[in-house]
Amino acid sequence: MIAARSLTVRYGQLVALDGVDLDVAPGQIFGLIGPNGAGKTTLIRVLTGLLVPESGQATIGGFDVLRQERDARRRLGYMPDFFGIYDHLTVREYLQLFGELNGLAGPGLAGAIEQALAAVRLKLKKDELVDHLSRGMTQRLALARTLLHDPDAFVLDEPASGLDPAARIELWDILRGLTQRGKAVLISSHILKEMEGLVTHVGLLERGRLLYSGPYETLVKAGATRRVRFRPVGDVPPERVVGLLTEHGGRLSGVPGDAYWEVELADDDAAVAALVGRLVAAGVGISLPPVAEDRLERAFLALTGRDAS
Amino acid sequence: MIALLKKELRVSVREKSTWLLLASMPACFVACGLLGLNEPTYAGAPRLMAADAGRQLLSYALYTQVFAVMLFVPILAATNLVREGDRKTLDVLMTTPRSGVELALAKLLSPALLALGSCLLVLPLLIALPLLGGVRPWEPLAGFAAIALAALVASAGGLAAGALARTTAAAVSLAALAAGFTCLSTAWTGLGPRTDLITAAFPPGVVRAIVECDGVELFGHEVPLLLPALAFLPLAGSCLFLASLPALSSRFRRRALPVRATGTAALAVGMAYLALVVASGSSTRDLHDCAAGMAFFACMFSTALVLIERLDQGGFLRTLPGSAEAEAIAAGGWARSFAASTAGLALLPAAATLPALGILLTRGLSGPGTDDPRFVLVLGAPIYSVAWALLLAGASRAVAFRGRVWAEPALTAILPGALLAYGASWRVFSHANELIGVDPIGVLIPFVSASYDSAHYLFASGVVHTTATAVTAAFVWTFATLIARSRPTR
Repeated sequence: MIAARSLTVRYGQLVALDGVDLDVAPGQIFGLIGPNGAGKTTLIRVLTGLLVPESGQATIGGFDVLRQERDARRRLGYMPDFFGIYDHLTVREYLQLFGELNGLAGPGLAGAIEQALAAVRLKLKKDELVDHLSRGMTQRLALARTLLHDPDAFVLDEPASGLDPAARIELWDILRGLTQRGKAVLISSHILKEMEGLVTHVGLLERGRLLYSGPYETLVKAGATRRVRFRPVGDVPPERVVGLLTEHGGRLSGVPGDAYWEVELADDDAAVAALVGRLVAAGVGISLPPVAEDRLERAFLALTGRDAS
Repeated sequence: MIALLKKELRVSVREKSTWLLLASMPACFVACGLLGLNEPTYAGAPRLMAADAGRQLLSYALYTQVFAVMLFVPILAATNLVREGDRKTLDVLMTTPRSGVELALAKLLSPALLALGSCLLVLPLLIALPLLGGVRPWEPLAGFAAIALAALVASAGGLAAGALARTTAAAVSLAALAAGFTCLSTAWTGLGPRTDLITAAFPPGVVRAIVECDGVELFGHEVPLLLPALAFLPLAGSCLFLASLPALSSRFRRRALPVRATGTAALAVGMAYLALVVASGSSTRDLHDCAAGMAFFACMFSTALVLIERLDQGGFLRTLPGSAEAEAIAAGGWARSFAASTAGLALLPAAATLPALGILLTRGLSGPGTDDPRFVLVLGAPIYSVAWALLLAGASRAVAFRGRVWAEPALTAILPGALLAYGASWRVFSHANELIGVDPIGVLIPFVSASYDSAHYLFASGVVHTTATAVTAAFVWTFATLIARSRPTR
């Protein structure tokens, strides 16, 4: 649905994109990840026809984004990193504008607006000025605009940037819903954690080169290790504990004596279970750390009465 | 197209700044109209005085409306476009199935329509003027058509400014300066004492009629007060429209050569047209006046462009060392590097005068009066423009301190500002000038201001000032280069 072939973009001697090949099929959420300056936005601008590449071709739904731009754009829903919103229009006026620009009119347009507003849960705000919406609502409105003409392909540039956890979870749910309807979604981010649990496929972009492009699971399983954190409790000397870890192929990445030790093991449930059994048999008590990174988010969701799942 | 236009109008109407700008138009009209009525020039029977007042009111109304449109519409158009770029809404619009021409037309028409809407507020009063006598019933409508034309051209100029500049401040400054230039050129060409040079192609008596606000014989009818539109349309203002369309695309924002080449070509076409008109049947003195005028505008353009480039935090291109754009420029060889530099920018207006001056020279070489020293100054005018442009570029280069955004335009403005102040002091020191025989404004633009009564003085003044400017430019460039070596500049 979204495809790139040998895309190259240069700014003088700087190669912004170097022969990038990419495919996003219907039903996929393709996460384009890479550090700032890797070329993500350049690639997105080429895919949306906003930037002309030095060589190569980009297509949406089989249509060249430069030579068959009207056909390609009819199949594209694009959301830039700043959302592209007019503050002085109401929600309804904003959607009406882009519906008309995409060729919708009359009852068809009114129905599409209602559907899009329902999908992003903004029905109650339809007569408010965009200026009065929160950032999360603004972002949902931008998404509603991309949904209006029911495109087959979505290209979203850093859509979760600056969103609160609840808004991000809502956005992820909407995107998953789109893929269930056979849409192709390309989403960029420089925050890898954002992509966990959302994307089905990943493109790893670094200095204009696509280092990996394929299924998410394949990427994370290749050479994957599992990191385990624990604190030994009891009278067993630390040197003995280190010896036991080494015997089981564990690599200590933390410093003994820290609050919690961090051990890197093969990503295998049996290996982890064997190590724990051996430590317990040797009289080492094991204390596990709390899931610190989720605590704040979970507390927030619990207090606001939202469903963490 | 309709959807886009509707959006443009809705968004603009809900901006407070739009109303502040537009409300000033009827205010200007009322103020100027009252001033006009306070100075009746015709004494006699009440009926004739009323007729005279009616004519004056119409004249003042149309003048103020056109000037207000030319000042405010470019600012509206430029800020509108730059905001679209900043908010990425332009990107979103450009990914819809609509064409770039539709987008450009909507952007072009919306500020013009808003301004016309504001002008409509006084249209009922204008239509009532024929009741006073002295104004024919269709004259206010003809004047209103001229305002509409002016609004379109002004909007095109604003769009071009918005497409070229990166920051809102720079876009507004560029638009305001372009608008100021257009007003000035209108006053100069349409209302000033040298109108006959610029509008020589018009039928006999038209210019006098325009200046005196009398009727003009056209197609068997007397058509009055089409003055500003007729006068300034052949100039660069109308050509900016051509430049605005390609520049609108964000793709062109990072490409110096196409934008600058288009702008220069548009300016050159306007000036060449002007030269053709003047050269078609004029004396040596006329040719010199035209060349002097072009040098004057080239210097004004250079000054404005360099100041705006400084205000735009590094120019129309982000040429900071190591940036992608700087790399692209460096890879393009010396021609691209020069085009992207401040000197290349400052020299554009001078380059645009060359075809026009070629026309004047061709006409002059075969015509009478080639032994007149003033004729040499036709050639001297572009040389002076080049020297002035290099002087400004050098000054700009010398003060381009990295990270001190406020300092760059401020310090760059010192040189032209000081010279302008010196020139402006002419009135104050006019008595002294008579005593010592020196014309201070000649220091700024010797070709424009020198006396026609002394051709030899004019020649000597031109040579001396051009040489002095060139020497100063060389000195400033050397100074700037030494600074550039000691610290990174852009």
